[in-house]
Amino acid sequence: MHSLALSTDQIVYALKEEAFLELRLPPASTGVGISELQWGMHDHPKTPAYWAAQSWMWGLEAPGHYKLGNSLEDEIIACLLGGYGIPAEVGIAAYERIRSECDGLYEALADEGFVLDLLSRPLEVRGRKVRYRFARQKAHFLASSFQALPEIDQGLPDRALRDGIMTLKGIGPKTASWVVRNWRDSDLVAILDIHIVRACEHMGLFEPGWTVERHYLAMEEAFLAFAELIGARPSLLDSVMWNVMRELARQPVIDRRLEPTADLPLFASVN
Amino acid sequence: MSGRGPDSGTDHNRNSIGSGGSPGSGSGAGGGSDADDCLFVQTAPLSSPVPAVVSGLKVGDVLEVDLQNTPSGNRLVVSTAGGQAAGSLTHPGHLKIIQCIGTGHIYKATVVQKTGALIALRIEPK
Repeated sequence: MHSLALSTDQIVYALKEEAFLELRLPPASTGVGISELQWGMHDHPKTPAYWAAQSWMWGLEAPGHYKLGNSLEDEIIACLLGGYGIPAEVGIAAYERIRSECDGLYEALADEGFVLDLLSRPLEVRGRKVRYRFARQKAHFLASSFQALPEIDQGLPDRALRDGIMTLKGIGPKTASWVVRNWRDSDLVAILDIHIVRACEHMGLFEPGWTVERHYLAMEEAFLAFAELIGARPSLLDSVMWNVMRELARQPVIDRRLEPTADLPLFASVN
Repeated sequence: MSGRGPDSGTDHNRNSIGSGGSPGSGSGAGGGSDADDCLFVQTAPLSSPVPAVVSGLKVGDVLEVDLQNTPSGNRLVVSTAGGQAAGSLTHPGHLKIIQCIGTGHIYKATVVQKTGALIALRIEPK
């Protein structure tokens, strides 16, 4: 019953100003490139077709939605203050405070005491006063970064700029890639945090045993190659994967199974 | 510094956070799981339209929006009152609907545009 839907081209629809736009994707049972990975159904989460469809749709609606600031310095502040253990809203609130207080005079951020004072004061998030965790550590990283930033040539190509930013204290490949992707809309880097890694592992894109600590560049190459195969901009795909995987992780598993139909197959093989 | 310190973290607020919204969340969508966050209206195309069912639809028809488990996660299915699957929802705001259904909200989808076999739906709380 499901063979028809799996073996015909998939057409993804989007609405833009009341007009229907369409994206045609290969049949669900078709392999992605030369790999054994199948496209899967575009309305089944975490399949290659799903990522292709979502990247396309998000690109139509808000291609630069991941941008946080208006300068490389802004992106460094935002990305350094976000991340592990920091709720997104708190990271953004801290970023907004730093940004407004320094008011474009980024050299002020080389003063660790100044940054620590700003991060130590309670932030207002959704009407509540909250404290920024790791204020001392992040103040140190931020001040150290802004002391060293003038040494980095901001005109470097994307990957070289990423490598340069990685020399800043407290910034590794993920955060450096995040900064470069946001600032340059770069399609030459990947931000391999846990959400992206899980999405890629689900599809079997990474070799067993690969870790971001030891195999970042190999994993980045696999991600970029996958993006090219499904016709998605890596910069968008990364953002879409991050948003979707984060959202899916929050969702309860609800078992309200409907009867399968010929046109709505329940299962699509992705591996 | 590779892979150490804060960079070895597991989560990044990499996007236009604060609102928590995603592109296409629709008016009123976005944010956390507060009850009011689920009182939104979205307009979206019907994905994977089932020709035999869609052919019988007309503007103003009201359809059900429900979750279906798949091996890789929840999927939003749109069905007629009679239980016939008409298609699915995959627009960028679909995750918000899934999240809100998960917290007990129920949504309906009204056909607002029909162009051949293509259907546009207005999705709102029931």
